[in-house]
Amino acid sequence: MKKIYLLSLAFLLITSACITGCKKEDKIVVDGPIDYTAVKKGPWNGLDSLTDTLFRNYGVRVFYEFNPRIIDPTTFYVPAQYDKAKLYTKYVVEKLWLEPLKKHFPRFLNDQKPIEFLILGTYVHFNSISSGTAAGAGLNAQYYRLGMGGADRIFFTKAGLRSHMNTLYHEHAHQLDQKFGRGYLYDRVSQGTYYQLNFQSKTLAQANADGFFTAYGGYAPEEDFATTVESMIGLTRAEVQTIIAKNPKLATKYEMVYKFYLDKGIDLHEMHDILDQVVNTLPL
Amino acid sequence: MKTIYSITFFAAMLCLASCKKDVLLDGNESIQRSNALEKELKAKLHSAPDGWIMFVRTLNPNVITAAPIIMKFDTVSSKVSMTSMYGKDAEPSLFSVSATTGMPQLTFSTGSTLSAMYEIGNTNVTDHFFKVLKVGADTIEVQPYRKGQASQSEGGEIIKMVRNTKPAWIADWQKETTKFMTRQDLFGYYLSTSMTYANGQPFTPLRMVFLNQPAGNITFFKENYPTMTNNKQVEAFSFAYYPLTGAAVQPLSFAGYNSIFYESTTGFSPATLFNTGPATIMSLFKTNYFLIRKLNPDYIDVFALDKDGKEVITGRIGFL
Amino acid sequence: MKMKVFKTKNIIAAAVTLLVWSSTGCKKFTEKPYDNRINLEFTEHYQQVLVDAYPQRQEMFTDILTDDYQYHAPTAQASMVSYFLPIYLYNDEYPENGFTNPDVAYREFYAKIYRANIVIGGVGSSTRGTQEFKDAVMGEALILRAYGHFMLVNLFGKHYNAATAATDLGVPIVTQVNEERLIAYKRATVKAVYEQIEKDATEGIALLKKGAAFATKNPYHFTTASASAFMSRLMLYKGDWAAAKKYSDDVIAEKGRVVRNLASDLTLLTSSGVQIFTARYMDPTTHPNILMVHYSTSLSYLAPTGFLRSGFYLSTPAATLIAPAGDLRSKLTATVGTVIDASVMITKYETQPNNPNGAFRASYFSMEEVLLNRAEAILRSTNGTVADALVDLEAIRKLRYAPYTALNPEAFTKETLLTNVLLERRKEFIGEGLRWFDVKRLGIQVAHSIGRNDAPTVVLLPNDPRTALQIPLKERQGNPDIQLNPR
Repeated sequence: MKKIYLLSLAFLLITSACITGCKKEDKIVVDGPIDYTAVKKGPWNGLDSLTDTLFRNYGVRVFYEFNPRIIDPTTFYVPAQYDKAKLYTKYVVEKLWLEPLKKHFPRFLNDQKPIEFLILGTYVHFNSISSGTAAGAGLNAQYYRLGMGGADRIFFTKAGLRSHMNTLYHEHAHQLDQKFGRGYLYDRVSQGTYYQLNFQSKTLAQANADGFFTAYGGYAPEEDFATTVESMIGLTRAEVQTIIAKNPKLATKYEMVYKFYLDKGIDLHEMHDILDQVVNTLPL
Repeated sequence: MKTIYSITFFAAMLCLASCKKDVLLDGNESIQRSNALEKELKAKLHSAPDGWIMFVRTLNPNVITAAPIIMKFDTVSSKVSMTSMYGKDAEPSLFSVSATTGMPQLTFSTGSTLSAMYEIGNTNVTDHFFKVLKVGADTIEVQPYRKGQASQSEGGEIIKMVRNTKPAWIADWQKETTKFMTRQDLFGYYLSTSMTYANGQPFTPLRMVFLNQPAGNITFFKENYPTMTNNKQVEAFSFAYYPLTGAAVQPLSFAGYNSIFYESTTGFSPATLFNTGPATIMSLFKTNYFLIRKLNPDYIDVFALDKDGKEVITGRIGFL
Repeated sequence: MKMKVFKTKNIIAAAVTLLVWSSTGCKKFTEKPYDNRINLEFTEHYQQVLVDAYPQRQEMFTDILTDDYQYHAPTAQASMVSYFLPIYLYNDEYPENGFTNPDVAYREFYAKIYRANIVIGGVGSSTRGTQEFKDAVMGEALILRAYGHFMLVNLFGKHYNAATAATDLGVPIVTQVNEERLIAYKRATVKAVYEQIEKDATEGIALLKKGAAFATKNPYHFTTASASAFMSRLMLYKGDWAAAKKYSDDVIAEKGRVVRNLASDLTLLTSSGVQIFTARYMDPTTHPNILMVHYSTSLSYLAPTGFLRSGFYLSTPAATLIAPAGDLRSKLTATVGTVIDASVMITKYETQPNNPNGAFRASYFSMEEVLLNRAEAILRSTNGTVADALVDLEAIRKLRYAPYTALNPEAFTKETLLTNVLLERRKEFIGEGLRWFDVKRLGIQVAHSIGRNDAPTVVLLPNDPRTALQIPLKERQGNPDIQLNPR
């Protein structure tokens, strides 16, 4: 009788040992967070070396290839062609944007540069790739990243690239607006007079007379701000003075924007001249 | 009494021994699995010396054919060169194989023939990222990451890439060395057409005309229309339909690599040139492209394939 | 030894206890109201009850059911959109929320009808009020009850169609405060509800006139003018053109053809900015054209359309309608998002463009509506003339178009001018919660999609069964036998 009990006890002990061994305390291996800004794996090509150099010299990482984690999936775009992306990186990003800024306005570059720059082939569409003209030239909903679209469509000539720089500064102005705010005083200057969606039917002359640098600037205060910057980068100082003489509101806004940038370490008129000079040195 | 005890004991032991084993989800395996798939995919892509063929279908419901794209992957330099109706061995573009979203992805990462098709729209290529679903001996199943619209769910149509085993139609397609656009003797005249359909459907001969596009249009297309900006070998013309009664349809059409094709897109206007015009031709011929087998003195031999690579339309266009 | 039961001191003690008990204010304690509520006794008590009897404009969510509004996902605030997107897509089921939806509307209007019924039932026997005072209070309460039922029947029933009104399902008519157990209310027909409304409202107006000395004159309450404006809307919806014209004439007789001077309002936009402009837009003290206005302490019924991230903005056709620079109403918009979003919202309320935590005012009735009702009624009746209708239309057009040119009466027939009047009506009241009822009565087809340039997800056909919103879930749960609207 006792033997049976002893045997059963032994059996129980063994089975209980097995039971406790059932639950395996395995730690779930969690892979590190995916860092898509990390250096590209696999063999580098010429453009990869260039972007790496730019990163080391200026702290800006240029992206021309994408995976779905880089830009959110509600944005539709096509990546740029390789040779266009290469030209764009070389001439627009390095020669016309980063180099002059580092040389002449290092504080501005240091404090205000986006750490990521995205080059897209098409413009940025938001509902589907076929949204037609409802597309953005730039992608700048985040402070740390600037994206420019339409790289496949740019004319890689001196004039084409020079005029593209105006767009680049326009988009970057939106970033600074979101980061610092253009100020409620800026919005008060032309309050109640913005064209909203009617801007498409206004001419440049009308816009100037109404107190906007361009018709598009008359859409809303944020575009007003960015087109002021665009105009100061695109026109000579003398040309800007002629325009602001047409409406005192223009003069007020111009002063505000000029000071906004000066405080951050860049003289926009000087930048205009520098860009004119640099673009002439390009082998195009 | 003894028996009761023993029965109870054995029953208890049985219950205890049959405990459920708690196995935690082992995330390790999925990472390993996806890494293994990635490696397999790269090896497979590289393993086909003649490349892989993807058949791209337009979404027009009248079309029974699919256009082939032969892709040769160089996994060392991450370059892919594509031969399609858009062009032969067009300028290589970059691709990448990665697992950034968990599943292995094949991304056509710079501008290419495929991304031009995505941009034009109305095909089953609805993204330039492709999820790789299955890697087999001779087929790779891929799926565009998105359907193409912000309000739709993930995942487009499943597309099969087949290993290029050099089927007869490729040789046929690549035989002709003269460019179609040089045959201006066929342009500007009423031509007739005869088509045979593999599914036996009848075809009423249609009166067509090859027309040249005005120079201004061509300049515009070269600068703005993705098919032409991304594929330098493509030339624009118009494969126009002149019915015996009624208005003519003169859609934008293209002459590519031994091919003529037309596509409908909503991204440009006027609609008759870019959208409804091409759609009409598609519904008339049941195809959005023709591969040119031979340029004869008076007519051209054309054919088109379905998504399995079978020749489903064979015909002639010219002075018949 | 036997104990004497009735000892003297015991008897005295018992008697004293009894005395003490009977003299404590036991009854008085239970008679006092236990939560400081007022016993409705005096006429002025009943008048005060009416202060809380004015329903929020909970019918305003219907704006997103119309062709005036479209959904734009990129600028929509996700938490709010989940409440209203199902309604936009004409679903009968929608998540609960505290702001607005058919369920909130149903409860709100019946809650205010309840208050009106308290007054109607009790003011007759109230004290400390002359007969005229009582008449004024009773009149106001009757009109409120009528207004509540009017809103309910127009939300949850098909539009009044004389041919089918006797069989179309309306809403339960509640004319008494229920003091019994739960009543399973049955839906009356649309015809019956309209008859009750008309009866209450005409009696109410008559009583307001009788008690004119005591009727409130402030624009937050029904006055004879706003009550007549209400009747003019009712008659227009009913199709009784002569009565609609009559009531409009009554309002005009009392107030004159006072139309909002939009140009002078707009000067505030440039001088002080859009926030001040919207705060003043619905201010009745400076705008005599506003006949009655509601003051809301929170976003409530403006949630679907009332601020920048609401997700529902002017549809492309509606925005195009008021866009021309010559129309002063083009200044009543604010841009939403960037130029790629290409959306605008209306700015008429203080929560707009982006002050959703503020209080605001919204008008119930305005002179512009009265004039447009009158013009439409004239053009639809057989003996109306183009010239007569033009008087009203021009009164509005004069202050809406700059530069203004009068319409040439010779160039119009009654039909073509009617199109003009309806267009003017649409433009004038964008974002004011009136369009849905016009969509219903004019049989307008509405297509709603969830992405710009996408095919419509849902199409509302003319006289679609869904123009009668489904009885809310809470009502169905409390009243399981209530007849549902056919689908």
